[in-house]
Amino acid sequence: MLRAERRLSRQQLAEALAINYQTVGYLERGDYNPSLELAFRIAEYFELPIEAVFSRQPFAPMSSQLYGKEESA
Amino acid sequence: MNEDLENPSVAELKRSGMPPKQVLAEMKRRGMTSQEMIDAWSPKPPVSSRVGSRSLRRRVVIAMYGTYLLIALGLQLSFVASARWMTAGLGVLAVVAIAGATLSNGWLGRRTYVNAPQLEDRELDERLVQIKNQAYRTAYKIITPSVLVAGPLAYLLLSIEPGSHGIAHAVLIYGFIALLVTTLPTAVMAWREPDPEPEIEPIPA
Repeated sequence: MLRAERRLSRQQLAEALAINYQTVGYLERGDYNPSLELAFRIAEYFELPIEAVFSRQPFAPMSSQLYGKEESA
Repeated sequence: MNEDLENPSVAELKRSGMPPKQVLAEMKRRGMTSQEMIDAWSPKPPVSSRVGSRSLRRRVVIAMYGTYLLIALGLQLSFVASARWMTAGLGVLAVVAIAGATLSNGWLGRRTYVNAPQLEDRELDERLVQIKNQAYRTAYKIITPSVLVAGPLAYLLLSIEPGSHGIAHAVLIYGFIALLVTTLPTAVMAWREPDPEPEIEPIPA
């Protein structure tokens, strides 16, 4: 999602983070849990707090988050 | 195709029939570094197409260890022939085995995600280091019992069959261990790694 927002290819993100492009795919699918060091590097790259990029629970779909907030407001 | 008509790519210059010396001069004129010249002269296909499919890698692994079994079978058959033929046969089989294992291992090494089993850890990212370590651990778990069994087995065979037959069997066991030690980590990784994803994928809209 973040990569799509920034219009980055896997290769471009991989080069920016100095990792293999396959690793980007593994991270996005949740098949690989990064080290704390890599997680911080990714968060820094996207200029977001780490909890906005990684979570121990799966992120809820954006639509439900938006509608949920509107309903509660 | 390069859209820049005033600066055609090196591949286009080569295709147009320009002599190599002139292509080289043109690259120098453009201020290209040595590495850029090498890359432009023979562009590499993307890593994903060099890695190869998992089924192809698995077939090579089977062929590599299958060759060893064929050699063992050939050795057994050669026992019915004369001792001289057996010695010559063993020599040929040894050369074939070493060449086959070297070629297969080299081929597989290039196709296990940027040579992960062969590169230094500092040249790999953390996931590749992890799968390299897992491959070595699996290989270690297979090699250790094999070595522990191979020693007494070779000794037993030499005791039962003193002479050329016993020596041939011991050499065969040694060859099996040597094959495992030199190829197994690469083979494990080639076997496990999934099909590659395309390296160049469209930028998300």
